Amino acid sequence: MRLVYANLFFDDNHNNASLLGYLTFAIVAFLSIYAIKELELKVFFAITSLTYVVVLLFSYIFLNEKLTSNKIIGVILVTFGVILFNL
Amino acid sequence: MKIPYKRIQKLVFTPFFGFLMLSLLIQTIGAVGAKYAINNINSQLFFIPGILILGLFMFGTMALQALVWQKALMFYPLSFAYPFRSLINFAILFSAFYFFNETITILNVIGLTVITWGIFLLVRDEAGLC
Repeated sequence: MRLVYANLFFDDNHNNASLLGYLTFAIVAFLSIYAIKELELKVFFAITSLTYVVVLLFSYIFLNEKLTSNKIIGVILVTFGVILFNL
Repeated sequence: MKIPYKRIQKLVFTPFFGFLMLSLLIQTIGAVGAKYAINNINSQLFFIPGILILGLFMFGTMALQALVWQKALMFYPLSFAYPFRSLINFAILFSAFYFFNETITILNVIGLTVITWGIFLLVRDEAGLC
């Protein structure tokens, strides 16, 4: 049982990816403070919607995920929405 | 476009929908709390203990929100749950108006609606809702 526990938490690929995830999570939390200080709260959150665009782009580049017409239209709409929001 | 109301109804009226909404509420509270603290914090203290406390607060709410979110995802497929995250934008918009006197313009509402529609389209393929 102890061995299984150890494997779960020290498996190289899984653990490194998870740690990187938590690390970026913490970095985002700290950087958000500086962003929220300067920006209006509503603007900050509207801009963070661009995460969807970046995730789609990165998943296409790094994970070879398929791009569909729906996803491309969705990304265009999100970007357009953020621009509209900030006009 | 045919919307499967019965399927949506079946997914919404479960206790897990509460977890979905709770995760959004936690994130909204975290954001409003952080903004309130930043607005009221002494600028000289901001870079020393203030930044650590605020960072931990934001990280804490994000982590708690993630845990509740995971609980909701035990029941819902990500493709169904994810579009609900865009509701945070509306919650923040109205919270910012109420707590910080930020303005709400018609373009804000239209922009967020377009963003929500875009997010819905992004996950539409996997959701099979339409």
